[in-house]
Amino acid sequence: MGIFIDHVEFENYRQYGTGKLSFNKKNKKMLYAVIAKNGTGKTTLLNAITWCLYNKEYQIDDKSKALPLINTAVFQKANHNDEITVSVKLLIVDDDEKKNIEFTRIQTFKIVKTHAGNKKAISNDNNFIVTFTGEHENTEPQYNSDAQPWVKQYFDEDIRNFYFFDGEQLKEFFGESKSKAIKDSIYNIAQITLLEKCIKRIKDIRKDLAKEIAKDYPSLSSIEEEINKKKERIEFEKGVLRDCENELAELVPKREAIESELKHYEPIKALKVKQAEYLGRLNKLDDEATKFKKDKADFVRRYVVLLNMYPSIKKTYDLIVEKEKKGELPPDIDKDLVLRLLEKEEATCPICNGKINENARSHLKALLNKITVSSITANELSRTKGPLEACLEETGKFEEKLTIFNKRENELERDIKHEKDLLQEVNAKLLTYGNASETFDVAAKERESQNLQSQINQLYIRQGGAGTRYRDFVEDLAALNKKWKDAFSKQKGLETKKREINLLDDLENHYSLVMNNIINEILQEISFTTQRIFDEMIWKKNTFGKVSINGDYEVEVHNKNNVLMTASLSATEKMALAYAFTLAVHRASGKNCPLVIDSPLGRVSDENRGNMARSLLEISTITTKQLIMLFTPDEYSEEVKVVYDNKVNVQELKLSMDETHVEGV
Amino acid sequence: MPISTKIIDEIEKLPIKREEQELMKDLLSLEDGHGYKINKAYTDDIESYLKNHLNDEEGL
Repeated sequence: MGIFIDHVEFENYRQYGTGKLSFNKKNKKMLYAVIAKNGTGKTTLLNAITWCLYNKEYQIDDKSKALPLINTAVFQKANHNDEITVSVKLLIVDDDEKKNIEFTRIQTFKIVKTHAGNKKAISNDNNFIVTFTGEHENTEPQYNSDAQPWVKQYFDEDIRNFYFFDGEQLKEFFGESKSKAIKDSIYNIAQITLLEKCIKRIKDIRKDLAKEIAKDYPSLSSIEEEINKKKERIEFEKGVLRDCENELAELVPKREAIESELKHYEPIKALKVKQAEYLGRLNKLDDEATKFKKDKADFVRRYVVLLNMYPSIKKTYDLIVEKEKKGELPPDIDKDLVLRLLEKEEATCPICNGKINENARSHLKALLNKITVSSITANELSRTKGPLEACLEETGKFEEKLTIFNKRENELERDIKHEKDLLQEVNAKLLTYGNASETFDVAAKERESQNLQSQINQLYIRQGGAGTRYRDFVEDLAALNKKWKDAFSKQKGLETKKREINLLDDLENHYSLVMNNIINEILQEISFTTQRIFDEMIWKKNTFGKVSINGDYEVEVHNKNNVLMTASLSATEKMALAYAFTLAVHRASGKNCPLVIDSPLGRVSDENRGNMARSLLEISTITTKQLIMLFTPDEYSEEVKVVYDNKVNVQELKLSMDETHVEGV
Repeated sequence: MPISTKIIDEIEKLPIKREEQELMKDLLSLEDGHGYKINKAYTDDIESYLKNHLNDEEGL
């Protein structure tokens, strides 16, 4: 028992043209494998269904750049002023309710001539019709806004991913925004929303009745006033909570989208960090090389003079040394002083102050004769020897200093080359990302994400405060209601009113009890089913522990040691979790609706494909759930064929030779 | 649309009189937009339906 897509009927719709694709039950096989090459109409089938139900083709990224809905061949044959109807009809069989539901969307177009003389299709009317036929009833068709609630009941648009699942879009499956949509949708499908509305209605009636009673009874009137004030506060806090929830529903996915974008750019980000690091080091080395060149130039300039002068300096120095050796450079003797001493009769020695006798006089005379070079020249030569010696010593250091300079020069050249090579390597890698590496500003996106995170944190704080106040006020209100009721029951008479109030209070309590029981039951059922299906699908039996789902319908997976590991799941494991959760949501909705999956095993690695394919077949058979899977020939690999051969309905779609329509419909 | 079997089951599990259980189901149908015939007069108003229920109870 369950709900099945019996067929999809097309009229002039895209490449399907006019025809019918049947999925009616054959030999109790509940699983359909539609195999089509990319571009043949696999995704267009999903688009046809969502267009029929929601008037949107979700798998078309940019509608402005897409072809019109009209089949190309039909459009080409059409003349100006022709009217063309495009429609998609979806026949659903509800075995539980014993009825057939036909969802039909019809769009008419008028063909007009453009200024350039080309043909253009202008959309006219768009109508949506739901018709029921069954064993016991044939209802009047319902149109547009009257027809739409039935879509919500069977294929709620807010959780369309749970009916029309795209295996390639797994990352969009889990997340806060999705969990809110799931919760809202489950509440709608399970009629929790109806219970909430009914409870509110009863509260309003009771409020009016209490107000009417309070008019004549002042003691009740003051309590009533307090109750109303408390209710206002509660409504205010509820408003704050709702605002926070709405803002979070907007900001969280926005941040998630940026983070996911940043994740995609993570390699670029890492490469850009390296690029900046290498550039920094290269600039530093370039500065050092410039300074080094100046130092080396100064060094060379200084030594050019020294080296040029070296032969002369060496010759002069050697000459002085030679003369010193020969004794041709006497000690510092003042010839004039010696002459003055010899001129005086009784002169005294300027050193020892002794009298200069004849012997000394003869010695002085011999000395005078011996000195051939003047004492001034001798002094000059002796003074020159020191600086010459220093020059020679400095020149001797040239080789050593030059070696040091050359060594540093080689080191710098090597370092610069190394950094340039690294930079070139990183630039080459960045080039493989094309323009994206230039146009995507990672830093700006990170700032935006941080900014959003800080807004989100503020909202969580605000939400926490409002939640606490809300709970306190609800407690206060319960106490006030009790106080009112006690005071009311003490009033004499008013028997009818008392019965009315009691009945309304009972109804409110009973509906609340029913509602809470159903909410808990659904959550438990979803948790249990998700866990069971996930365990069946996963072939690692010693890794995963509990799969938990909280009151906000957020799914988490723990390992055997109860450590959270949702973020560490592989693509295949995420796929299994998504299938498990989807099937659990279907089950909890109370309607065993079909599931259409595009690329069902696209993200599953080769060795796991067979296992996953087998699990889906078993689930479909055991739960009598219709699964329509849209495969590419590659995806429908040998591992899948082995599992599905003769056990599933296989249908191949091919494009016609002129590529205007799909063959096989 | 019909009230889900889950809700019907939960209502029928409540330890209250059968008439009250039926009343709860009827009120939900009314809230969902279904009208009812009360004393030969058609109503889709919960309040008058409740008053009628109380009158019936009193009559009993």
